Amino acid sequence: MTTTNGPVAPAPLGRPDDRPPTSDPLAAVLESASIAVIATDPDWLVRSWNRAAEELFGYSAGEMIGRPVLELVPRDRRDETRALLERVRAGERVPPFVADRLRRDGATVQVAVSAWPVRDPVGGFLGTGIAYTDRTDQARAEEEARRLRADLERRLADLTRTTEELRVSEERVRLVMESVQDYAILMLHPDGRVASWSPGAERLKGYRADEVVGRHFSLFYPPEAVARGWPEKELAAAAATGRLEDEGWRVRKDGSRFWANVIITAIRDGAGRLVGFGKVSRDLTARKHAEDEVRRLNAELDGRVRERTAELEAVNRDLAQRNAENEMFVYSVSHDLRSPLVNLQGFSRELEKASRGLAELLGDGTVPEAVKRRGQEVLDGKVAKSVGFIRAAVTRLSNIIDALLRLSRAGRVDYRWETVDVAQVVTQVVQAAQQTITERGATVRVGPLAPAWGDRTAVEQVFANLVGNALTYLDPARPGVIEIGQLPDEGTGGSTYFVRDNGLGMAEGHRQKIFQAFQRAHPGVGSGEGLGLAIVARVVERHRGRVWVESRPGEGSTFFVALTAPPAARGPRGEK
Amino acid sequence: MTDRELTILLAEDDEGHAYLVQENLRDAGLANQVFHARDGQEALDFIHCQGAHTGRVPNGPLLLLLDINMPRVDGVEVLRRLKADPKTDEIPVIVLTTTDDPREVKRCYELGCSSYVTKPVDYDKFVEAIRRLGLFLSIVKVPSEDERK
Repeated sequence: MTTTNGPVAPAPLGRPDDRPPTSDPLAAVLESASIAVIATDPDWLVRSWNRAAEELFGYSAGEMIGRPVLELVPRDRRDETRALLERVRAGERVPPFVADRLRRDGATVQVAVSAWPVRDPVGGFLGTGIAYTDRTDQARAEEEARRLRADLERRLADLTRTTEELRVSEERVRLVMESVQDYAILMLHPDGRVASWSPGAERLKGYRADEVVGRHFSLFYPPEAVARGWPEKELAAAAATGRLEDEGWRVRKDGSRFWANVIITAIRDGAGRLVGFGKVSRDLTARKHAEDEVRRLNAELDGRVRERTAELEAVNRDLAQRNAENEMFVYSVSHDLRSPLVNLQGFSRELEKASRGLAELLGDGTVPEAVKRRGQEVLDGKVAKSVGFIRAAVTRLSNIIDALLRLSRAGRVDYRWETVDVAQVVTQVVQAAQQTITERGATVRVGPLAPAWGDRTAVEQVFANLVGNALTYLDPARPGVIEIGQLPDEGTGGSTYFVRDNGLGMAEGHRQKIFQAFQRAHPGVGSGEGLGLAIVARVVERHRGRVWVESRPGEGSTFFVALTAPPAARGPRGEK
Repeated sequence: MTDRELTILLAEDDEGHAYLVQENLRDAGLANQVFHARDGQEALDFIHCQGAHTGRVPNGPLLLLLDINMPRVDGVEVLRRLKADPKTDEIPVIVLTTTDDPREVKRCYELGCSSYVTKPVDYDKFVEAIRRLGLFLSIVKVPSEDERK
């Protein structure tokens, strides 16, 4: 410390210094101290008032010197202060205490006050020394400190609670993470290095925590994904959008691949800074394989269906063409067969004519009787018999050829599609067969029959053949009954007609074959060519209908023919 | 100009048919000359006086009885060629065949045949058909072959 007033001088007060200069160094120290120090006489009148006091209380030294120091004390505290000053007079030194004092402007200022007695060298009481320190800043600081402390304590409590909660929550999360086996849950640093590792991750990816923590997570990606920077792109996307979901192939420690569903979540602190990523992966290989398998099977199935459809279409076209070829073949063969038939007929007739000529010749009187007799025998016997057989065979052949022509025509003639009054058609068929019906002593019953959609002539051919068949194969042992009717409508958009007889019936083996050409269930009965039902089948087929038979040997047969209804009748029924 | 007799050219590959047709035409009282060509080509050769018939001199009216199914050149082709050639398109052609396919009948009429007669398989009907044909041929007027030159 220096003894000059320079370095310790208080800040300039900004008002004129009206004090008398002093040469006493101690007085100069007091004067320049930053603590307000005053002195009173034994009656507590101010005798000394330094610059800091002027500043603290607002009174100049000139104003205060000679006035009672108690004026600085708020009225309600003056007695108390007087008592204090009495104790000082008695010799007590009062250590600093905090008290309020009044400023010149009436405001209260908190100060730390200390007081001590001032004595002359022989112990005479000269007055009181009083020092004031401005407590305003300090009080404010203390208040602030109290407040801070309380705040701190509160925060500390909060923090303790939060920490506990966090600890509990973290423990819970840890337990969850460790118990989740099917998910790899890991944390990544913002740069993609692995920060934490879960048992599920170990189970899924094959790495132990100590093998993988700190390594870059691109480790889990296939080389091709790494090559195109996919792991980094995923992190960038997750950082940009907060969350990213991806599915793709990932690689285990052992190099095997699995199809993973991956969710990467960006984790940010309160200030929004990216602190890392949470990554949850799931092994969906089984699902992926199942899906791939389903897709593959579907594609294969599609392919097979297409192939099969194409094959069937080709076969169909082939069959249709072959059918047409067959019918054409049958047609031309039948025609070719007709020419020799004309010869057979014609020349058998010529033979007859020649025989007659020969017989006339034999009748000539010049022929010896024995020759005439033997010649006549030959002519009437072998020749007549042979010609008879030839002609019977020719007639039969002719019928077969005609039937074949009809069969080939059944497939080839152009149909005129119309609504066919089946009841009327059947009536006509029955009328045409009336002679046979009468000869056979049969009974024919016709029930109600709905119209059908088809070619009238062809439908007539069907019923003519079925009725003809029924009449042909009646059982001579009992009166024949033929029923023509219709099954109850089943809403199929068509009608099922039937022709039922109580005739000979058929064994099951025959039922399979009777709709084929030249198949006859009863070869000895009737003179059919074995083509009637083949024609029926062909006609019904061309009508997109169905024909079938139910039969029992000895009981009779029922032929069913299903045909479509006319469009007008079909429409409203279809809408039901 | 004398009314020369009608020559009948029978194009028929079946010897039996040819025989029966000729027999029955004769039985019907038709006395005209009938020439039998064994296929379509021979019929054409006869008409054009070529091939085996190079030396033939057309003489009077000619009528063709034509079968359809024949080797080498079939009846339809013969008909087509005759009707396509102005020199022969007036020769009356009667198709006489076993085929009764309506499409074949239609085709022959479209090509210009005068008549289409089906040979019935039933011999009585055959005889009757040929007899009527013979009656028809005995009264029919046919332009003369050689007059067209």
